[in-house]
Amino acid sequence: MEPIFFTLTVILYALSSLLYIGSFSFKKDRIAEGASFLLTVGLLTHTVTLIARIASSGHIPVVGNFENTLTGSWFIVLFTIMVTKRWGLRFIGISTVPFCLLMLGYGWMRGTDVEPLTSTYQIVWLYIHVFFAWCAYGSYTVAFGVAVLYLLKEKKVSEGKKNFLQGMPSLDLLDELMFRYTIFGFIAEAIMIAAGSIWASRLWGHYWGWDPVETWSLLSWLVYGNLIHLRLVFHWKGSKIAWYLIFAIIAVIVSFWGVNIVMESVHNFKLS
Amino acid sequence: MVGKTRCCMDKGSLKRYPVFLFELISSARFAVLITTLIIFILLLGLFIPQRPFMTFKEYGAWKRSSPRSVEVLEALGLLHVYSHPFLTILSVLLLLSVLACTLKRLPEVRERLSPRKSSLLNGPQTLRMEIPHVGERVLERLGDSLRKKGFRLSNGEDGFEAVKNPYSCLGSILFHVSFLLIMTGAIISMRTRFTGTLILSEGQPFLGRMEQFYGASGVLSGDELSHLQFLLEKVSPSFDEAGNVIALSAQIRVLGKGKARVIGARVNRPARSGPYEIHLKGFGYCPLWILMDAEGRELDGAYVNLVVGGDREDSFFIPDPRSKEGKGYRVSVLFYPDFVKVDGHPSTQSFYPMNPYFYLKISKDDRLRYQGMVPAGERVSFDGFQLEFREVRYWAKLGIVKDSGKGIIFFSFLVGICGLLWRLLFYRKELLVIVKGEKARDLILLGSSDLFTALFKREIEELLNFIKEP
Repeated sequence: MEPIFFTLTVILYALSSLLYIGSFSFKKDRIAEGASFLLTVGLLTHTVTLIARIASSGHIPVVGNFENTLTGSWFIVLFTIMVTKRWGLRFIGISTVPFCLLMLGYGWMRGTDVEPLTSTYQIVWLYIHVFFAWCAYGSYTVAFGVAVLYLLKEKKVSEGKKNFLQGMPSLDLLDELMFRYTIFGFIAEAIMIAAGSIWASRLWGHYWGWDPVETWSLLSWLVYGNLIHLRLVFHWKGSKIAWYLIFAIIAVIVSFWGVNIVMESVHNFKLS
Repeated sequence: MVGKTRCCMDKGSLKRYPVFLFELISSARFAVLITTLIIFILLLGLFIPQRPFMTFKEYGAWKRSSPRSVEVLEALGLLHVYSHPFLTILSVLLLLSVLACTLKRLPEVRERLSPRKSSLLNGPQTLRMEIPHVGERVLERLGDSLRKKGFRLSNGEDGFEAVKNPYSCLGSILFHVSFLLIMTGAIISMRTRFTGTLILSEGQPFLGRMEQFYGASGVLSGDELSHLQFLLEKVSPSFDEAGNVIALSAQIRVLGKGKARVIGARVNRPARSGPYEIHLKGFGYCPLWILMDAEGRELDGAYVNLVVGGDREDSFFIPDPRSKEGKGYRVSVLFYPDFVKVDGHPSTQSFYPMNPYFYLKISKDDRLRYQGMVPAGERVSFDGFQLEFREVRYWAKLGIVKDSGKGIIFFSFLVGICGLLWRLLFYRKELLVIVKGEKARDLILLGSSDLFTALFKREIEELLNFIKEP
């Protein structure tokens, strides 16, 4: 059941991505609505995939690359749908849904075998750590998506023409939404780092070891912390913040994907 | 002229130096600069291989392949970025910056906390809305809705003032204080932390001696360690069918007068003995080998910790009792804890040592002296000796940790997160509602929000639309 629903989810997200891109290319609002609908159906099949995974593995899907990308992309899609519904940001999926597709593809390529919940994973801090990690990365991805929309809308506004992005929230509101989701991500990442540190202390006896994954998490937290300072103290706004967020997402991508590929990390949780 | 100005500074300008320094350190620009430099250093540490995370073998190979670059990086201290004095200086500067920022904000916070008349009338209000001709009912519903949303209302001469989360600025202080606490905890950790790795087999004691450690770092004063004495009684792993360790625990008997008791350590759940934590970090098989002469008289024997499993081979050394030059035999071992033959090939049906078999290769002077499979309790003969594996136990890798700063760090995490939530999620919002006119009332709303103006405006608009509905 899991492979069927996974495939279905990927197809729905791919179609949704195509429609988002199409709606943007052909400047048709209604196509974006179709994309949102497909995305919502995709989230349902994605949820079924997750449930099937839990049933087959016997644990919450937090072990290994496939499960992490499966859960992580679920959070991002959920956040995307919530933001779309709450703020009328119909086009936000243009950046977040293809991002999720890439994530799922990466996880799938790394192998879909069920990995057991070995003794190193049997601790409640794991769930807190992972849950907030995904909340953080979901929020940052949404902030990134809003930043892209902000820049697109700003360009259209500066051209002074009537355009299909007019139905979206004002630039002021988009600006604040970018910051709002950055704040959510920042708080969630702080909790993630704290929970991870407590877990590390229980597992290895040290709360901080300058492991590449730890260092990248700290780095991305500092990058977003810097943004919050720039906003609150130097009153950075609009396109400056948007460009910052577009570059800042690199730190998130590297700490989630890049580090384990390029460098040796203790985040494989193997016993000696 | 410049020189003259410099050499003839009056006392006033000298007095201004500390003020200037304080202003500099407490400025947000300084904090952003320091944070950016720290980010840069961390990035360096990620892209340049760090010596503490490399094995001797890896480091040696790298040094041989590119000696010049290793030499330059070493000279610049870039192979030890995380313990480089520059990072320590930056951390201290960040600590000072946080401290100065916190001190600088105190008067502002005190001002915001003190009961005062709203500054919205005269101050730079961020939101202004005028609603003409509203009835008494609308005003009442507005007050009720604001109360439901968590605003605290106080009546004024021409209307009322509504404030939500008036103390959120304390969150910022809490967050910055948590930074100071983290730094304090980290300094205490650095000064007091001790970590050591022990490898003990079941039945083997740790007698509080430094030389028993496989590796140790940190300082312990005097005979502090001698208070920690224990015996590793039992190691209990649980495996799934694929051989994954799904549970691992150890039973430890604390030794010493009046201290004797049994404690348990599990992965993720260290045992405690006084200020020490005993972490269970790994395990392996530990057979007892006995070397005998041709007549079966015991000559030598020991428990040997093997790192084996699956197709992984390990080896150990047995000294030759006849050799005066200290020569001996290299024994390579493939271990089958619960031996079974599958399609004619040796295998194991579980990872518990129920039916242990050893596939041995015994060599000396690069010549193979024996090769074959032997079960535990049986002997093999080679070069006039007999070798027997009498029993198999487990060995455990234990981490001994003493860290007085850890508690402060974890407490500061809690303080910091509470501070962040308070400041960034439960931020201050103010609304001043002024009523103009007697019968046909006009409402003027002046509002401000600490973080989000447009969102606050939208929130108030939604609220007004709601209360205007019949």
